[in-house]
Amino acid sequence: MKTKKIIIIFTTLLLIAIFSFLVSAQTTGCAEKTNLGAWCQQVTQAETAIGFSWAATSCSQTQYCKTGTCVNENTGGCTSNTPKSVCENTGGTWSDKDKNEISECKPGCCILGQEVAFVNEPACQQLATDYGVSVDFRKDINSQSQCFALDTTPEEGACVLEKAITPESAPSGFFENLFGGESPTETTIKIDCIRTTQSGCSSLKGDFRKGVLCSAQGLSDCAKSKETMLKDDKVYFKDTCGNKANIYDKNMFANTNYWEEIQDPKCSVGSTPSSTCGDCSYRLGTIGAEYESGEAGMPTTSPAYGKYVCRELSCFYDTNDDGNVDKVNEKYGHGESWCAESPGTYPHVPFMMDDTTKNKLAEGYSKYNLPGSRYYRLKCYDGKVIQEPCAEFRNEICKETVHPDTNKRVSACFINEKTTCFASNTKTSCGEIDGCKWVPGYTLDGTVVGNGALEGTKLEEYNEKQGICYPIFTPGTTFWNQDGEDLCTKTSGVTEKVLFETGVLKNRKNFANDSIKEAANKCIDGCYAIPGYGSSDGKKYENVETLKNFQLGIGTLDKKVQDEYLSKREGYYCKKKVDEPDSIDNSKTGAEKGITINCASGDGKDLERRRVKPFYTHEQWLKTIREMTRSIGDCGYKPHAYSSETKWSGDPDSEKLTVIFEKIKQSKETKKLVGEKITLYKGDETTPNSEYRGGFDREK
Amino acid sequence: MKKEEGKRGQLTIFIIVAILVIAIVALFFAFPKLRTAVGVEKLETPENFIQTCLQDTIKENVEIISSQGGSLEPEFSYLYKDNKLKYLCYNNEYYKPCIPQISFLRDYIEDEIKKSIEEDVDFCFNSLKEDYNNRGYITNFKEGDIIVELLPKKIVTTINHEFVFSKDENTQRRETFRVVLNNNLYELTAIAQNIIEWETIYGGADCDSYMDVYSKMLCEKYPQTDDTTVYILTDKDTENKFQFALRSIALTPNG
Repeated sequence: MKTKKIIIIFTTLLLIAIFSFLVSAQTTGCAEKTNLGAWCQQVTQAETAIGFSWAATSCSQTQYCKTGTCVNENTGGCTSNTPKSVCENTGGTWSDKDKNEISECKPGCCILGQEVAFVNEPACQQLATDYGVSVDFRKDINSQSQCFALDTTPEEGACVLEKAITPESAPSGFFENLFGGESPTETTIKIDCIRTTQSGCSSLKGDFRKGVLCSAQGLSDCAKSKETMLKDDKVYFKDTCGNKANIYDKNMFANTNYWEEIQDPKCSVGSTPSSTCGDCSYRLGTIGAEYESGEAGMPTTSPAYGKYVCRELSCFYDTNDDGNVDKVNEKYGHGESWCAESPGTYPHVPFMMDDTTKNKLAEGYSKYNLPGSRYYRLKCYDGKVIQEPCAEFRNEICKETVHPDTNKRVSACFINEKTTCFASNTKTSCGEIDGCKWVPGYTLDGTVVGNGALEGTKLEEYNEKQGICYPIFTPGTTFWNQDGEDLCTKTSGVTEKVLFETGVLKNRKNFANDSIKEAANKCIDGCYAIPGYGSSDGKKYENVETLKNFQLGIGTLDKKVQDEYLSKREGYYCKKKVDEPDSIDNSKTGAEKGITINCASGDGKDLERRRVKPFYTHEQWLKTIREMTRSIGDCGYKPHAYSSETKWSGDPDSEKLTVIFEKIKQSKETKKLVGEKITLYKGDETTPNSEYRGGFDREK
Repeated sequence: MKKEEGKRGQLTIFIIVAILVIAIVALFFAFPKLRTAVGVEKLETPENFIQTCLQDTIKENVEIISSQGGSLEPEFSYLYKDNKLKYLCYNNEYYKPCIPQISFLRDYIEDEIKKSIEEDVDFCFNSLKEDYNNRGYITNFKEGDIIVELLPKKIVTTINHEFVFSKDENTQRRETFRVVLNNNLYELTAIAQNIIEWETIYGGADCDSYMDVYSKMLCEKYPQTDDTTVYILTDKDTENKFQFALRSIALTPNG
């Protein structure tokens, strides 16, 4: 007995263990480190590296992967949002406090002679030791950009040498440094003055004159010259000794004082090229360069002195790929960015989309955002165009605008709002999202709002909810694998049952002999799936609004039209019992006659008996399901972005309608399948398969 | 007849001179000490010897490490144009910002460079010892630590190995050897660290703004099929590159 108990307990425990193991093998949790070597990821226990922790919860809930600030006590470095295990693994000390709350983490600008570093104080001390310089830690500078932009260049002046330096006596590289990388052209050159810093002059054992130029009269043999030189992207006058003088300025050449003292420039260059001023601005799009007549970006005239000018850093790019570069519209300034006109995408999407753009995109589902297409942004830097792709599968969209202050073109890759679109289940909320469009007809879960019954104010709710919010920028799918196929089926696959009501004495076997028109007249549910439904002759479709009003009893219909490809069963339009759910069992029986529909019964209720339909014509239904299919990535029949626009290179089978006929019991269960599955439409065909009913007839 | 004799005499002298030259060259090769002794080959200082021996290796290793996200042999990486790029920040989940995989990038890279040159340092010091021994010196060598530092515009490798060499009762001692490589990895690493910080908070970083601030730097960003983003930072002047991978705010294709 005891043994039996032990066996039972043991078996139970074993089962619990096995069950727990199976559960943990499937569920994901927070792994301290994965088999692949990644820290703090949500994976299954089996994917966790041996010797590391795993818990069936999110990483933020664990002790080991909680994020915080990591402090390196040796170097004084601090990083935020770092998981505890990552921090401790690299010898750091972890704290759950924010970086700004930890005093030793507050960075400042560390000035080390002419170099700068944006680090905290202990790290600055360390650097100063390495450099052997005194510490100048600026706590007041609290951004890296401010720190890096700091001008740490020491003041310069003329260094007058007792003994002139000649090419023979000069230390290695002296003249190359002085002449900006070039060797002196004259071998007899003698330099008795050099523009340098005080410390530089001390090393040359010269007499330092702060703020004075070597070309100053009576100071040295160096004199003003008509030559210029490039330094730090700007153009400078050069003295006869090769020293940098003040910024090149055509109008200042004759000014004696301009050759005496170091001065701020009296001219300036913005974004347009200049041959008269050398104060080029890289930030605004100009840079010092040798003048090349006629070259793009060069000033129109040659420089008055020397051979250097401020040239534009603009780019010229054939964005519309027409084989010509438009010198006005396809000229881009330094730092400007714009969207590329890549095949299959909507060109130049604005930051804020107006209704026209939205409509073009919404309706252009067969023209834009085609399979294989991708948005790219282009940017102009240093006269070169850099291409930056947005995320694949059109998960990002390039949008552009013109900055109101700088008048510069700006672009960015924006996340496609597809997830927000699908989560939005009302027409109003969908319309409020820039990147979404509302496609009325079907709902994502296939249900019909209020069962389609028009009771009280239900019509408003029906119109608001009966539809799907699709992304306006059709996202891509991995249509070649199961995941992609599932998504296509889920979001654009529909099954519609068309029910026909025949008379008691009618032999259902002969139903196949009926024409499509007769079938339409007998239809009681899902009628819009019948080709020609809602038309007067099987081809020319009626106005949807007219048919809708007729259905709702607020409009009449021409008798002739009503007798044509429309249902003549009253149950198609009206419920039998007002208080009962609107199902096919609750349809009024009998035929509808005349140009109006009278849903009223003995109780006099009419409006509440009305049955709302998602579609009123076959054409409308077909258009909707086509839009649904094509609005989801690469599910539908669309040309590839890199095919010619007129050639449809997609797979026609990716977008097709098939039909089967079933004989059903009174309970609506299938009694017999009649014939085979017949393809009604395929690819871009606009006329139904002529075998549609013929195929059915053959199986009769 | 006399003329012919004269020619023969000249030929003999040429042959003797040629044999002498070959013999001297052979002697120099056979006894390296002789080269230094007669002053044909200048004795290189230990500092120069180590600098020459290590600088190319350090340069090559730094280039490899910089092109692989700061790692010599990345454990968790993304293959981009035949380069394994270390993920510096990663999240396998969708719509979530990445999680840093390294806390201090600069320290990490310094450590990687150090590891990558350890064997070469040993080799160079052994060669130094051998070279000095061949020149008749008595040498003594004691291993110390190796420190690699990423500093503004340079990478400094300090080797605290003690090297003592003596000859003719003259003993010299060297305790520190420095190899300096001009490289902007310090600046590029600082920007990469900043990009990672932005990615962990906002799930993205704007390359343009970095380029606006640092005019000498090119920042390129390439989203990949699996939502990995490859960042390439290039110093325009030196063409030093630092490239790395991250996965942040991944957007599922079928979501």
